[in-house]
Amino acid sequence: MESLASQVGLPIVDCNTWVGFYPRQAIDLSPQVLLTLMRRYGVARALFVHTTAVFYDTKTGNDLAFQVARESGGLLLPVATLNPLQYRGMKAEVERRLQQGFRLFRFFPKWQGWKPTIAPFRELASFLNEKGVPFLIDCPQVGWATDIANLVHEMQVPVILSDVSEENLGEVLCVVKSVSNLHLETSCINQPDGYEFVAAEVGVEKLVFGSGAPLHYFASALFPLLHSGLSDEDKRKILVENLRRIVQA
Amino acid sequence: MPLLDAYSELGWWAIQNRDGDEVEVMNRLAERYNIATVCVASAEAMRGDLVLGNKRVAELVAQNPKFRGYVVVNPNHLEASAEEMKRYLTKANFLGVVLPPPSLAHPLNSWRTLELVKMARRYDCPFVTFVETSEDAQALVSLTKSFPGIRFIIVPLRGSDWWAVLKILEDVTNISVVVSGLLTERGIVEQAMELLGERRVLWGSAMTRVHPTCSLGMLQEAELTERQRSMLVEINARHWLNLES
Repeated sequence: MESLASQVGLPIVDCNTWVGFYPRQAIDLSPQVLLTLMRRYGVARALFVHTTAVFYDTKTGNDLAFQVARESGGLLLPVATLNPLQYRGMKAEVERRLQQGFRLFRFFPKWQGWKPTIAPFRELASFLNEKGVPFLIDCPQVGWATDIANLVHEMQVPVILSDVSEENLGEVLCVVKSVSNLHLETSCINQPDGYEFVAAEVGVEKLVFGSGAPLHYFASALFPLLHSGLSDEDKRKILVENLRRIVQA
Repeated sequence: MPLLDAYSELGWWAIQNRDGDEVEVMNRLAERYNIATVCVASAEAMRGDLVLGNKRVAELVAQNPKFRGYVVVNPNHLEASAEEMKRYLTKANFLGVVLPPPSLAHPLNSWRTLELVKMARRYDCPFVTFVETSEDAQALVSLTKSFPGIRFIIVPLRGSDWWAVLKILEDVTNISVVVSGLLTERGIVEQAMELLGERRVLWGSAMTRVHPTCSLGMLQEAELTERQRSMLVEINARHWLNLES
């Protein structure tokens, strides 16, 4: 089953991977583990965040992400983490990472203890929009997707809702369907039927493959998509093309 | 190797399920993934109507020998739960009792849960419980101290501190763990094997709530020996659920 993706000739780019020391559980998130998983499942590129940026300090962590990416020979692509609560110097952080070649940014309200309605997040999101930089934001809580939709519906940059939970998936689908620049990262979809349902509901162009590896078993995220009844063309869009379009935009 | 699914749910309550004949879907998935025996509890009994949900499982297991049933109980309805246990646990195609997750009902060491386990003692069957936090695991350990002869089978859920749960349960030999698609954090399969030993870890598909490929993917990716894999997907469940070979 592991070579199914390569058998049908589907390239994979994973937009939700992790590197670094994970303070919440003893799980090995080293670049070596991630690269091993990528080789095993035929993942061409993995976009990753560094745990230090998520759980401790964004600047230190984004520096580490830059270093890990450089050492990976282009297989690991860094995603810059921002934290509105750290506030001071965040816009400069955006500028610096753009100069370094980061193409995507990510927010972690749950892990960093804030809500998408807070003013510094609104300010940062507007700044990213002015710069034309797409971003991901974790959205596991009921109500947050609606708040994010209210904020970004007049923006132009693509926004990807990630780490959605079983509890708020309905709310997320409602806003992704109605707000043109909202997209959904797929690690919350754990059923082949779920892929078919979600694609029919919001459109396959809105889905971007993410696994959460190595924090989660990669195969748990990939197999439901491969076993779905979506066409190879649609799977290709989810696995690589939609993200490429978002980042290149 | 034919698989033995230690935990699945009959019901359509999750958003990713499609409407339709759930039994047909479970049968099809069991066929496709070579699952010879499916142990099933009612999602409806856990979240809605206790009696109606259990009845649906009873109908399913009566019609299809591939399925074995769990009777769901509800600590908020002690008398009705006692009736349900009496109705089903004397039947050969029912295996044990399922307690709803503590967040839906009561802590595992609450007076109500204690009463339920007392009532179930006479049936000599295992209890399936969900663990959402390490406090739940501690509560379960304190519960098992009162009932050393009863087997408990826990299903860790997403968000739980599973490593602490495994450590807490490490030395409590009448508790086993089901690894399933309900919690896919990498390492849980290997750590469960390491901490609890290879005889105390079972596999559950958690279908129809989660597709079997989620947990089968975990097993494929996990670093296990072939012996551990076969114990996990079949042999251990036979022992813990008293199923004949």
